[in-house]
Amino acid sequence: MLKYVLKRLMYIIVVFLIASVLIFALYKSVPGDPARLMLEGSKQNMKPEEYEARYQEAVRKLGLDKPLPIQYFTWLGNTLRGDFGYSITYKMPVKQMIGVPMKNTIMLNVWSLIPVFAITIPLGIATAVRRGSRFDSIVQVVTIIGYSLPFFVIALLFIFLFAVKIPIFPISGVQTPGFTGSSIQLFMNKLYHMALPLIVMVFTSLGGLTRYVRATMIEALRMDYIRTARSKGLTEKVVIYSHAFRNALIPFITIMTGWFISIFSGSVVIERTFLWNGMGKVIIDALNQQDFAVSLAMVMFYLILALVGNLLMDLSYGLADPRVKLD
Amino acid sequence: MRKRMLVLFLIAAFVVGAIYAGGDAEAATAAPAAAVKDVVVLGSSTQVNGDFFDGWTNSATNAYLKQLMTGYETVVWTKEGRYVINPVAIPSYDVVTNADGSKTYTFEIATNLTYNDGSPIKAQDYVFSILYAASPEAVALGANYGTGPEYVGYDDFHDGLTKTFSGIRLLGDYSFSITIKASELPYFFDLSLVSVDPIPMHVLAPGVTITDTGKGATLSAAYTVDLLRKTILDPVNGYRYKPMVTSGPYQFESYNPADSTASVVLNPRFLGEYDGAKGSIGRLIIKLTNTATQMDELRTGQIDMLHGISGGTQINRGLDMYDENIVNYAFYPRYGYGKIAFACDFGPTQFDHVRRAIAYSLDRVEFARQYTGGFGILVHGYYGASMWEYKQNASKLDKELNTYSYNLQKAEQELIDGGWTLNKDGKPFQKGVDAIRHKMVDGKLMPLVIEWANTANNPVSDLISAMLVPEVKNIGMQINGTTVDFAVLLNHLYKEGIDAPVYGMFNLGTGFATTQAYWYYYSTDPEYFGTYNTNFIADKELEAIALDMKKTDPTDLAGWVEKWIKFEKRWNYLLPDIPLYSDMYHDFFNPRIVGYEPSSTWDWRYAIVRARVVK
Repeated sequence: MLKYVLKRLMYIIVVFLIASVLIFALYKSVPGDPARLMLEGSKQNMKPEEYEARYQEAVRKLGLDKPLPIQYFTWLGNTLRGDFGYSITYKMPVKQMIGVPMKNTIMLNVWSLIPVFAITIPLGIATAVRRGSRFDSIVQVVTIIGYSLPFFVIALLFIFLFAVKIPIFPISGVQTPGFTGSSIQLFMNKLYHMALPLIVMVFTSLGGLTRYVRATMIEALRMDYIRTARSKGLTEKVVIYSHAFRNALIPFITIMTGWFISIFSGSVVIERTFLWNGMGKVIIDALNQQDFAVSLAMVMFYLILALVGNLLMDLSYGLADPRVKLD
Repeated sequence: MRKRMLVLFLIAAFVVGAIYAGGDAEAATAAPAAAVKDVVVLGSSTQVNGDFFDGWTNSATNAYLKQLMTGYETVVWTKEGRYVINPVAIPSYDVVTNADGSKTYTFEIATNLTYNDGSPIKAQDYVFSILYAASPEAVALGANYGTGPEYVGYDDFHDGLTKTFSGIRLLGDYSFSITIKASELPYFFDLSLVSVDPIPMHVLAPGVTITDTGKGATLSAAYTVDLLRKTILDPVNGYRYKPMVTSGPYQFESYNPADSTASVVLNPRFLGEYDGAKGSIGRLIIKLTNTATQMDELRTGQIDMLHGISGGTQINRGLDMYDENIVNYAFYPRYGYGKIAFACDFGPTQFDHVRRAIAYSLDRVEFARQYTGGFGILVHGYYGASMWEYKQNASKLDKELNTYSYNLQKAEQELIDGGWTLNKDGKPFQKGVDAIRHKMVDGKLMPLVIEWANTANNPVSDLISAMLVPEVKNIGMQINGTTVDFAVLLNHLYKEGIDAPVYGMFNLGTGFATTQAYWYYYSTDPEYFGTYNTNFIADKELEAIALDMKKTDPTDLAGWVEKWIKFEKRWNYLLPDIPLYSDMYHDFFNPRIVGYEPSSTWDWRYAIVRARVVK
């Protein structure tokens, strides 16, 4: 097991280095001039000579005056030391500006995990057990709606229903502007603002996950060992939860890994619609503004998350199913 | 066991949430102000960031807040669109033209000015403001300031060759002077060059002193980059993020990075703007909104104002709310326009006849109507409809400028007059037989084919494709559109990193500055090409008029207007751009807000200080 983990860690390092070269090359091939963008709005207030001097200073500050291989190794070295560069949009180190949106995204996603899994797992199991019943049909119809409608349509529909027509939730934001109160009141105020995006996230996630759990459970319930368990006289609860569900876990773990990564990545649509200042919004803004330091840092972060996530997923297979051997 | 795990997970999530909610370490908040009754929330689609000090950000919303926290400038911008000496801060001043042609403004500042914390504002705060922005230490911090190069002694001071700024004098506790270089004069907007606001030296540079031995203002040795880094860039209390000592009608209250919301509250010590306005709304908050739901936020009262709304759909939604007595509104033309820009240095678009032919081939009235949904106007020159020069002379300009009304006969005649009379074989062009006109240029036949760079998902590009491209075929011209990323479009427009220029036509927008530097934008000096003169137009006559405008005596308004009209006429003839539309911006606001009168040159930050809230 230890040997396997060490081997995988070595793979992670190699993949990381290869991917870093590819990603860096990709970003460098994107047209545009970050140094010019950094000064674009100041131009009207500067004399041409002053602008040129500032432009050259910006080129130097961003390291754009050096050959590409030097730029790459400088960037990689700095990244490994935890220096992710300087954001040309926020005019501050990436490390300094990334904290708040990352916290917002993690919070929204962690809170959404609770109802999503609390609803989808029992619902998926229940519909699999009662396959073909009226209950199953109704759940199938409802989940297919949530699954097939685009995020932004559902988000706007929920805003229209629950924030405009029946104004019980705020339309956007993380807290009431200018809110003053105790920590508890602030916490409650944030939860109140989080409610609608959370509801939308849960609603849109129900379809896919419920159907996935249902499918894996149906597969598991067809196995011979389930018939054996039933013929041994075990209760239906034990058969379903101890025998069938455990065997249905392996494909479910694959899905869980994706969710683990998404906790940090944020949802562009949800965050932009509800103006939840999170990572999805930051990355899109960074790409639009050619703020490469931010987008490069985040892409590399997600790359590491994906590689580590995959390792954890493989290790989890072994824990969930003793038949899986990791060598 | 599973139930226990679930409970543990729920508790963990709750604890993390509680830490998150309570621990807003990054939120910058001032000490609580006295209870504020009147609160106005402005919704803005431009995100507020954490910068509240000049030098780092150009965000429009941050500029609003900075402006609200800045007061007692030596020179202020008026509602009429002029620069004047601020009588509240500067009870008396003197202007002297020196023997070497330089010009010295000596300011006596009022003795009763204070910052919001009660500390007195003295001449050294104004002098420090200039010295700090011009110093190499500010550059080392990463700040960008455009002011100062016009002052005598700037270059040596800025380059760190001397610690003394010879053109800036500290003449006493309440007196200082600024000397403008002779090479910058005469300059019509010279008052704008000496617009300085005080910044609290005791906060930004504690322990630093300014001395003047008669040769200029000198900062003491204690003024270092490290000191500024501590006082300005500290992530928690740095002046850049938390400017607690300010001079304007409003003072900093809070900035919450979690939802990009910032607020300011009234500064009770503020003596007034140039017209006596002190502000009366207790607290102003700027909140991020998105276009899809901003009108709903206004309808449900989650915000009180929206400004700069354009586009028929949004404006009509606002007007519907006005009909329901939910909001009031004000409107004003954009200080700029959407345009077709030409590269005037190569290919067919280097010839003004071709540019005029394109203008005649486009029904601009219909174009503007379709694009703005009826909420826009047309301009015919390099101006905005709210410029005072235009407003004073609207009837004359409307009469004398060519409006280029849609007329294919005139378009064709322009091409004939311009020598586009040959076919691809060099024989006379025959309408109905030949598709594309040609012209003999430097011994070679040049086809009348124009490469046009446009951007995706852009309704202006779609309208040009539908309303212009088919029309020019009728006069023997071909426009080939290529959709590129906006950054690529800019590279080609500025000709940065472009070995061989391809595109002769672009569509994009432009805006004017309050001191529009016509002489840079239409300079024939190649140094100005690309960054300022993006048309690469080298018309000596246009440049000469612009330079003559620059040299106008600031008091000679009639002379300025005369030259301005001359410039507009020449520009209108040369047509380096075709103005397509100028949006009619709408501000919608809660009816409890009264006295709010914005205009293109008098935006939210100015108008809100003069507005008030009624019950």
